[in-house]
Amino acid sequence: MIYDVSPLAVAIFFAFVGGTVGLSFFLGRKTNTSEGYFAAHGQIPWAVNGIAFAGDYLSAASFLGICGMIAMYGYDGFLYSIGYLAGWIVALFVIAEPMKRLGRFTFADALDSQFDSRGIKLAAGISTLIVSVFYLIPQMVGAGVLIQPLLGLPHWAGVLLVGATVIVIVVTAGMVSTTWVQFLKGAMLVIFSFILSMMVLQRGLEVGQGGIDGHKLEVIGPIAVDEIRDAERLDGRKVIAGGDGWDEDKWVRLADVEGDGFTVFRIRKDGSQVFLDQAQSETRRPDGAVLVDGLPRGRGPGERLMHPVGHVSRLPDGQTATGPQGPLEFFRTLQESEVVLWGSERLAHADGAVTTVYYQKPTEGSRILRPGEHPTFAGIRSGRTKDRIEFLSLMLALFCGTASLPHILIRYYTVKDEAAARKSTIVGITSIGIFYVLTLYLGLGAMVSGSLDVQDSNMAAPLLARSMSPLLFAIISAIAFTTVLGTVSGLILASSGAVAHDLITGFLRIPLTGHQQVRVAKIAAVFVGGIAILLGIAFAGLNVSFLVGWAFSIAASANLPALTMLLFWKGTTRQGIIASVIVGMFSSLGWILLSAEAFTKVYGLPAENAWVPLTQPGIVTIPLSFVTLIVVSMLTRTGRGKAV
Amino acid sequence: MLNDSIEQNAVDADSPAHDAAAMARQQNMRLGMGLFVIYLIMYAGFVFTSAFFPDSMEWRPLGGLNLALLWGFGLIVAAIFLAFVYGVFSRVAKPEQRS
Repeated sequence: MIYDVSPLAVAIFFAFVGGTVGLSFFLGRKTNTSEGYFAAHGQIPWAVNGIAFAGDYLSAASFLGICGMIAMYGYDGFLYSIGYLAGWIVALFVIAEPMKRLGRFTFADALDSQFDSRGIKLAAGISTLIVSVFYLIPQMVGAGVLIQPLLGLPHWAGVLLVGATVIVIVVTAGMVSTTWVQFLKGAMLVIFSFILSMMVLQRGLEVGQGGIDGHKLEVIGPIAVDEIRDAERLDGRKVIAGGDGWDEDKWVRLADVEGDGFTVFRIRKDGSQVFLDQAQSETRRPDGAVLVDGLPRGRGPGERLMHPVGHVSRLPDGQTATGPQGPLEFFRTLQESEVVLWGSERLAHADGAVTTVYYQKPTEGSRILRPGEHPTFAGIRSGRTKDRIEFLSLMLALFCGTASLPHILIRYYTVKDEAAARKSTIVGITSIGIFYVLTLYLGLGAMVSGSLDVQDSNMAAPLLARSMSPLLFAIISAIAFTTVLGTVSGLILASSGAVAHDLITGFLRIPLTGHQQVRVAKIAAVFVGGIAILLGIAFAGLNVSFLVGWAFSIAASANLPALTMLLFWKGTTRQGIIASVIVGMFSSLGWILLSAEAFTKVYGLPAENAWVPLTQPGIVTIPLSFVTLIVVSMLTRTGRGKAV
Repeated sequence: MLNDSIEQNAVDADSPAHDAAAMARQQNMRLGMGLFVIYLIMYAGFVFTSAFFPDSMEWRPLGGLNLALLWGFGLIVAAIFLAFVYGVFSRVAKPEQRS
């Protein structure tokens, strides 16, 4: 879809970014010591820190990815909300207070609190870097996705803009400015999501025939099966011959009365009759030209754009509009309704061109509000044990991953004591929980808003806002962008801490004063920010939530077993911790790189060539990391307490 | 329950402050683990039911809402509720000392 660039959106966007950077400079004046740079002197109020947890955690994947997934498939996106929030229970009940008590600046501090081991610092530092970089890529890709409709700039410009802004934020004031950026972003995200959800309920549900551009999707029929096979004309239009990728049993193309364009229909069989439901197609030619239903993509004469979509095709009791709905009534009505979702199919042509056809999938509301519609989760209805284990593995990684993410863990050092760490986690859980409840309203609201872009689910929430008001679109887009800024700042800060504190001071034992450590961390922040920009440009087009799932799996496998065993098992040795982190990190990373998903989506190879049976590694690599720690610790009992 | 040597690292093992702080931490840890197990059972139940009995998620036991919605929202509300329970009943481990 091509979006209008709104001057209002641009103005609000630059006000947000300018305000954020200005705040950073203002707060950065006092931050020269390592305590100030890495941990904000431990002086952040717990309530602010709690909302900053939400700002840190609710990344582009949460806001854009989950809303988009719910908008396109229904309940399945909500499974991520449930899993992401469940992870906070591990953080609160198991990790929060010991983490605060044992550490100082980084996650490695807590792991190493008993041992003063260079090996632990090295392993934990590398683990922090790997998890952070994997988490950074989808954030940067998300920034590129957002900047296109907002400012009309290309993908790389969005990535560069985020990277440069974040480097400025992190370098000027470290944890102090990062915390306040995350606090503002977290608060605004929850407040405006709430406002948007209320507007969704106020608008209610309405039967439609297409999107908000006013185009009514055509339905032709009933037609006898025999009649359609050899028809030269249908509905007064010429039938374009099939073949060259266009399967005649699935698709019918009717030529426009004038010009080279056509309307594509998907054939729906109903007994001895068929109906033709309008679909939409986009063709990409080898020379780079893009055609929409046979015409060049654009707004000019002789050009065509994809239609925005998303409508209710049937409401209960023959209603045409419900009027305002209550929060539970909304679900009850939707369960009894029918909504038109959209599927897609790729057709390859002899000249190297590829057409993607987007077709209507009228779906019962009762199916939309149950798990198993999205391809990732459809396996639970396949009856195959492997698919079910895949699902369990993903839900396990989400549960264990949150409490192992380095950029979340370092936030425990910004408050003064264990009680403040606990209270800020409770505030974090509450605000994140409220947000995740709202994701279901936002996603389902977008699903029936008539404003969806069939080609880009990530834009569902901003487009829902645009269907309400241009001002709201501008604000939601700017918040989405600061969402990326907040999370990326936290990740770059965690990475720079790992380099300066864990690797250079801890592992290499190069003595640095507080000032020097801050300077090294700032240089590392610029370096990591640069890498993130390059990777964000290189990975453009890769699915955002897919990459976040990888980061969770690696974090859960590498970090959680070592942290929990250190807290709960006296027999834990430094060698056990090092082995557990290394085995967890490399087994999950290796598994992911050899999985079917990486083969198809990253290398462009057939899924059958994959080396490992499951895509999600957690169910194997998390227990493997635990077992490694126990076995190595038992073999090395006498080595405890000695430095490597 | 908590690894004792971790405790000793945080405060002077012989001081009265250590005893009070350690006791508060042990109690918090017991409370936290109890609440954690309650939540774990709810979460694991949800995940296993979704994986092995997906059709049961369409059952509408209450208020016209299906089990998937009730259990899903229940997990989010339970997380917030248990967090508050922990906040209200956990003890403050003071004074804070670092070795």
